Amino acid sequence: MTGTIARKEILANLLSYKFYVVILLAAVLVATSFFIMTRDYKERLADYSLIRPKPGEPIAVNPPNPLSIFSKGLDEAMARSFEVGPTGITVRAGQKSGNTVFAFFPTPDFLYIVRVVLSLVALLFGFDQVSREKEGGTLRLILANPASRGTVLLGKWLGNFVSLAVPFLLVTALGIAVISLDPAVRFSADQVLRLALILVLTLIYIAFFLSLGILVSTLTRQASSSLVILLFIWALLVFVLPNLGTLVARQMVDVPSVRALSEKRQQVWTREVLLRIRGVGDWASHVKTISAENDALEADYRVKFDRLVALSKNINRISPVASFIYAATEIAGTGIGEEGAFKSEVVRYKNAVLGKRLASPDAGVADYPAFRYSCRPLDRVLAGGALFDAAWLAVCGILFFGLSYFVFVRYDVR
Amino acid sequence: MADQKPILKADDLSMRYEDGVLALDHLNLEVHPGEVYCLLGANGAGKTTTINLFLNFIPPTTGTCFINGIDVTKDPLEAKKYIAFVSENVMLYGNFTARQNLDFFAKLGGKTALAKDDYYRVMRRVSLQEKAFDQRVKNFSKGMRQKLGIAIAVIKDAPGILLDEPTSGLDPKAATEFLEIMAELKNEGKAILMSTHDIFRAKEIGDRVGIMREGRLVMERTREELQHEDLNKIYIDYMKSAEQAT
Amino acid sequence: MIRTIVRKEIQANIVSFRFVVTLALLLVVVPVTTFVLTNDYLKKVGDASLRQAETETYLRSYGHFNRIGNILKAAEPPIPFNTLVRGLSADVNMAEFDDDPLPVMFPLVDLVFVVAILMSLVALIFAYDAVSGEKEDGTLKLMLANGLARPKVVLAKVAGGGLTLLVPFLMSLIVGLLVILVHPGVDWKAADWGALGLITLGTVLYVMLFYALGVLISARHHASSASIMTSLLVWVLLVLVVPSLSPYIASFLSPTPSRIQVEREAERLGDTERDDLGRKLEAERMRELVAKYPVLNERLSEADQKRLMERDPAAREAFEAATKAKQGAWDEANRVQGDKIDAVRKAADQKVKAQTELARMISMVSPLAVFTYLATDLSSTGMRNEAYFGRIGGVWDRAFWDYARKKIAELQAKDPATDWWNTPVDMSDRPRFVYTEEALGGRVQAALPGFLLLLGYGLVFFALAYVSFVKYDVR
Repeated sequence: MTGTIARKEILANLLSYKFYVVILLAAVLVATSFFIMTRDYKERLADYSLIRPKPGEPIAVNPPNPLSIFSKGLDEAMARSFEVGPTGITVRAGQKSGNTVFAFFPTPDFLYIVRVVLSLVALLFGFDQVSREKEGGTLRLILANPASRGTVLLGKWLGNFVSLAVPFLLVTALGIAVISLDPAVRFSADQVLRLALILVLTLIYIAFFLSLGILVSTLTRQASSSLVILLFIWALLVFVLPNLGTLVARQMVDVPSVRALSEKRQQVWTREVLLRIRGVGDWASHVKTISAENDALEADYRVKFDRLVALSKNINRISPVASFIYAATEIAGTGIGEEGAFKSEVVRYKNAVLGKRLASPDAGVADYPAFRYSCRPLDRVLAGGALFDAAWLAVCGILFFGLSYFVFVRYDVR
Repeated sequence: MADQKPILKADDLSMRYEDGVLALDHLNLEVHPGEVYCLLGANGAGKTTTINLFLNFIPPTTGTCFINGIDVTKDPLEAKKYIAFVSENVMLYGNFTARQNLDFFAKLGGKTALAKDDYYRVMRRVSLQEKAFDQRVKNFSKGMRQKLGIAIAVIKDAPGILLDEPTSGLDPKAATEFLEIMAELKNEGKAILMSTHDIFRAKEIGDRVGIMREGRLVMERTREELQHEDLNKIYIDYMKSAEQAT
Repeated sequence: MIRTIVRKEIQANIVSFRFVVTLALLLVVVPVTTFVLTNDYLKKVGDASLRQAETETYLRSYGHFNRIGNILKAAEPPIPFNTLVRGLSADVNMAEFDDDPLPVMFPLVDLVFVVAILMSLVALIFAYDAVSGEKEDGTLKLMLANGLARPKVVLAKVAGGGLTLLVPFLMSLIVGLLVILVHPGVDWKAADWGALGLITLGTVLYVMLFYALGVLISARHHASSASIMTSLLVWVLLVLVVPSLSPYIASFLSPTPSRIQVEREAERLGDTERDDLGRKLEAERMRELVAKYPVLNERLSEADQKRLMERDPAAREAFEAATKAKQGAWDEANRVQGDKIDAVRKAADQKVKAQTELARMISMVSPLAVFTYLATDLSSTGMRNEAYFGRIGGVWDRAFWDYARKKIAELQAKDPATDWWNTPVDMSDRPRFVYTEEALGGRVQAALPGFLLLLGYGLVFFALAYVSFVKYDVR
């Protein structure tokens, strides 16, 4: 019975205008995004080959992450080149482009397409499932048969989920295959696994919005009302709540602004240089002072910033969309957690370099250890919150489906 | 056939809505195999409510609906195996062809092993035009859709059939074809409960006719009894007295 | 006749479910956003004055001119408009190790966002069944059967629907403004009110444009269920996709070397190529001199050279000429390469400018981008302000260094022995950088094309809606 209904849903979708519009839109967007972001990645890779440190130079650089094609996140920040000197860490090569239009609008990576467009698409498949059949009278016809309401709902859910997931996966897989053909883009086995996990996460995300759509469909008697409600909920969940949460968290946690931090660093450095010139103490002690104060500033900032991130995460998670963003970016290795770990590693490298420099001040310039950073291993990423976020997303979807069942059982089909 | 056990039985059925309106007031009726029972009444008299109760779309306040001896509220899924439903004004699935609609509902009704020819046969039987078999339903006229609705009921081959206002909006030719099918089904032994406004056709096809007024069955006549009476006049009289009473 | 329809449109809309939901949504989102942004702004103001105090403290003890460029910089303070519009003023700061990753992941919700994304969606939600819905209900036939001219009907629909839409928006905006005004620390000036009024006008144009678009789409469909799908498709493309794609398309069509490439090239020109050139020029000049002063050919140790110079005036002349020639060679090398580096940088800047302009042009296919530029330029948070800030920052920078040189000269005159560049100096009489927003006139000038474009879009959509409706099959 469930199978019959599911099959009918799939067939109905295949014969509808809406389905083709949506599939075409998703395909075009995914393809465009892949093309653009691959180009972007290759350009950044070319830049990386320019800024790669020669062996022995005290420069920390991380190559761009190929998964940034799908989730750009903070990859650009993490691919900057940091030079370690007596004054601390300076950025040798920062932002790529002077085109300010980039800063106005969000990056059209795969995650953006999924987060914004696919959620809407899933809602559009779910919103009139019950209300339209009721209005059309077919719901009564179905229920005049030995099919329980649970069966009907499950059949509808499954049919629509398959209608969404299969074309989407096909298009995405095709896109990924095309990307892999490019010799400049190489995914390691670990990265392929992460990509697969991100796709699974995407399916959970789609399932969540489908369930939400069906839930609202059972709560309203007219398809047009469901649509209006859902569009507003969608706008809130996708655009407003995840971003507002961060702002609210900033009200509650006092974090020194980045400007304050860099101003303080400059003051520390110039003060020490001045003292050195005035002949107070030797060079090594000044370098140590600068390093120690910078580290204190950094540690203080880190503690407060981590608290801010944790609080904003918890507030943002009211919208499961935020959970999707967190989980996906962390798995891809371009998220806030990864960025924090990377920065800590850079600080550690700075201390190693300075230690070496102070230990042997007469050593040749080109004899420092190389900087090496590898993404946090997947199990740490999952344990560090990504699994929780994925589970939260799944639980919300199941919850909404459960609620739909509860409501649908009482639904007046007349 | 009237001495056989009834397929459809309403036993002391009452339905009071939350807002206090009494839609059904101790309704008792039986429909036996091979019998067509026409339920007449004004809008809001309780005809559709009766059908909704048989289909378990709402639970009764008191009383029970039995389908083939099964209490509809206690075992709805089992009960629904024995009835087919033809709704008034059904849009069906517009993007599907007639055959695809039929296929879906046939499978839901438990007939999973039918072939294309079986569908065509049923559609021909209900006088649906050949060229409409594989056309999208959204372009169908009301008459064509109604025929398809009956085809859906016929293909289920259930012992009981419920019809809600089946002839409303049909042109005379389509209505006549409809009556022919009803007669055939009756002769096959189906128990048919039909709610309608159409006094003329009720008299033609009904083995028994009941008039409902304000939730109560105020009159029931068999075909023989009606031959000597003017159903039209009876009906209008009942309606008039209802108006005078209010 | 038109007034009757307009009134009917307004009445029908106000009691509709979607109106109530829109009103509720906006009345919550706008005030909450402004409340949070106002607190954020006040916090930033506090933070700015704290930093100011810290700088003053530092300068009192350690302010020396040699490294003063790292301490004293032209900085953009928070402005009252930040309570409503964020624009480019997010504190991302990629040029330092300390950068803030959160705004990259979670960009701000501000007034521009609410209007651009939410209100455009709302406009389409109100408009998608303007024509197709009435056809489905049968009321369109009735209206036209009463002898109403189609042009009048479409005009009335757009007017009535649009007016209804503006009610929830303006109400929520007023509540938002009240929230801001209630906070004592926010200092709005007359020019700011003017700019806000103009932004509101821009909003009206923006919302009406989308409403007209919705009516157009409705008039090209016979089922509202299809009309909403098309509307959403168009909306997703115009609002969410085109703006984000535009800079990438521009970089594809009008590529620029990345900053890293430019810097590497500059480095190469300034180091290796300069060294090569310097050596070449030096060799050339030495060859000339050697022809003139054969003594230079001899390989003498530095000590011997010195002794020879003391004894032989001709030798001294030769060695001095040699030194001068070498210096001259390297100076020329530096100059030539310096010019090359400038040329490279200039060429790159021009390319970036061209790409940015192209990106802007492409993005303005989307009314959201047009509105964003308009609002950010009027509120001094956009690209125009960046350029303006750069200019006034440069002015202050020059003034400061003039001051620095003058001060050093004075101090040197009084005490020539001290290294005044590396000694703490009292700089309390220095020129301070004061940021005031650009005059309203300049901002309006920047925003004017945006206004015209929004108006243009609106008129085009309305015209197309008109034509579609006139041909619409009402049966």
